[in-house]
Amino acid sequence: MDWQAQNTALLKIWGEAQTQMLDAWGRIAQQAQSPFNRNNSPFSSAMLDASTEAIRQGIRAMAFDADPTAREAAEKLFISQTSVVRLLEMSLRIWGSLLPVLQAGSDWRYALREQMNWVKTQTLQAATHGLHTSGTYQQLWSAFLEDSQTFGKPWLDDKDKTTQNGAAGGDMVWEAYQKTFGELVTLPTSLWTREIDDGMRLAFAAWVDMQQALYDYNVILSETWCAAFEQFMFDLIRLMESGEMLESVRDMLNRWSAVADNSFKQSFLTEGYIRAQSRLVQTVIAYRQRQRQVNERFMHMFDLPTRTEIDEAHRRIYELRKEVRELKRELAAIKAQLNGGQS
Amino acid sequence: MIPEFPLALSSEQIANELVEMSRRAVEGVRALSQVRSEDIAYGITPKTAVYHDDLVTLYRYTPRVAAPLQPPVLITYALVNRPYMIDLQEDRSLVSGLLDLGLDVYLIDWGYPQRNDRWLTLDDYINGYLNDCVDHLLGSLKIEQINLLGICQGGVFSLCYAALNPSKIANLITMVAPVDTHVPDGLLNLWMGANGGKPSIDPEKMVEALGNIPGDVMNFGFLMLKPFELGLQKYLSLLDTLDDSAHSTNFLRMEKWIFDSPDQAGAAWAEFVRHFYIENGLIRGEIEIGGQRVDLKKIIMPVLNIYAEKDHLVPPASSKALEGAISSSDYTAVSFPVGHIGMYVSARVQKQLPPTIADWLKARCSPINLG
Repeated sequence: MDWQAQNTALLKIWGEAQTQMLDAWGRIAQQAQSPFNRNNSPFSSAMLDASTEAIRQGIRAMAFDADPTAREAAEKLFISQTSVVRLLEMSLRIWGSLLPVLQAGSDWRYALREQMNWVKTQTLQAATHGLHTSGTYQQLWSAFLEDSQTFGKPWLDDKDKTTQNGAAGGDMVWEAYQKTFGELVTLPTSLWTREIDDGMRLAFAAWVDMQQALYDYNVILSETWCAAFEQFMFDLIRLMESGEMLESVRDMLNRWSAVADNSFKQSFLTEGYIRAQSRLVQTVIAYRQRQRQVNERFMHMFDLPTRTEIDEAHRRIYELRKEVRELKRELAAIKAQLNGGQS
Repeated sequence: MIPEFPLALSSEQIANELVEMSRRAVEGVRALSQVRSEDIAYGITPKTAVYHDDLVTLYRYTPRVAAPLQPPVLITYALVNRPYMIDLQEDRSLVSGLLDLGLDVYLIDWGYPQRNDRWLTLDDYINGYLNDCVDHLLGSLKIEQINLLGICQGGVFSLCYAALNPSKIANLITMVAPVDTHVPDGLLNLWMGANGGKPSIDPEKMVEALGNIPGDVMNFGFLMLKPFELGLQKYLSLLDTLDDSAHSTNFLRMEKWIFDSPDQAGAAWAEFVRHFYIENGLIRGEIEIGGQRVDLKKIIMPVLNIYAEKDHLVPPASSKALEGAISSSDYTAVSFPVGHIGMYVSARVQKQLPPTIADWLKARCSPINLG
């Protein structure tokens, strides 16, 4: 369907932010200071890997004629189950690191803050991994081309050729060649126009903006995630102090879910989050428009109809249909009037 | 026992619970793999298409009494979801409940807008399709008025329509309708740009870039309002009920509905976000549909306003604001202690909602014998 192509960028970005966060937590949990021996903990990797693999295989084995909604529910069930394990593991390991402080009756708030700062740093690194917010122009340009291979393919291929030629020719010769003639011939000449080149530069600028917005958005998300977890740990300590107990892993998860949703809601209501989300949407939209402009310039070169032209044709058809509809109404009213007059 | 950790389970017990959870997840996946589309059929109440225009279809549900209450009830649903949530399955069907209570029920199905529908405006939906459906009913049934029931965004449409065409509407029912979008505590409102300051989205630019607004984007926004409850906990709860076939198929029907989100016709969506959310135009009397100003004070017919007390999509205050905005001297507000979705699927609401609507209408209409 048409929308699938349209919304890929937006959903991919949001989805990846969540996935990266979740994956990061799995890794962070394993690195966290812990008094437990992992092999003796409830999270013995063999046990978890086996169950994860069993579920994964089950999903793979789902019949082709299984209802798509059921298939998606199974996949979400799998993700949820994995998340629970990671959450538990993380909670227990952080708890383990706080234990000596709690047992000594020292200020656990400070220790918790220290732990959470470490978690925040790790989470942020993971959440923004792969984003391109700094680097030389050439590094960013390469990353941009790799990120947009569909319409940047000619440039990307050309860059590869350029690199190979450069290595063979020696720096001085290569530079002389490149500055005098090479820049012309290494462009994809069959497609090149100044308009397309300009379009690529504008798309690149929009892509850099989007990377920055995505970084800022992920920072807020990861901070919120950590704040939620800190609140959760805080709640657990309060429970311990009051002598209350959670009766099951499910109880613990329910408490996490309530705390986390509330923390996220509080964050989502802030001006900072709304600004970051707004900027992310705006930059994704701007990048998409720039991409389209480049694509449409290619389409023009090959005398192919563009999205804009088709949209315009649809608009004209829409307006004509509306006029016809209105005329039909007026005609019906006139007929009714005439019939009424005759009778 | 993990020292001091406030979980009354030993490491072994935790491991056992996790293993049990995994076992159930494996079984759950196996059970889900057996589900075929026909097992989770929805919208099963018999109905007949009586009018069709472009992507819009007007259905009549087969009446269950010889003399259904007249005038009939026309239901308008939101554009952002499919209307079968009000007829999900036999024991969770608002439509079925209304038919049992002797009502004559019609429903507008807005269809799935395609790319070529991106230019459709609110004028087309309200003064076009909705009006044509009403006129079709008035003409074919030879009546002068109908009862209009608008749900969620459909409630906003029905308010606009009733204000523009008060003579055609005998009684108006709105359900979980966002009337004042600038009330506090509305996260969705904020995200839709109703922040009273600089709008957080530019709907026109989004439409310019995307054409229609993908249903998946809308859906993702809804899920992000409660990411853990809706994205994680919900599926783990499924583990507890997979043995109960009726429960799990009900779950899957709801899942199907939640993710069956039509794309939004671009122009209409941008207008809706701009004028109803960012500008809060409905309550301020600033909305214009097809060049006609929507003045809620022109709503003089009896109004039943139904809202959900725990609605996180349409805060109760947003719906309740209707009372002070209309001129009707016969206004009734009814609330249920559920969330937005609970209005359709809560067993308790399903028992109480149809009679609430039917009794309210019966006090204001009379049955006729269709022979």
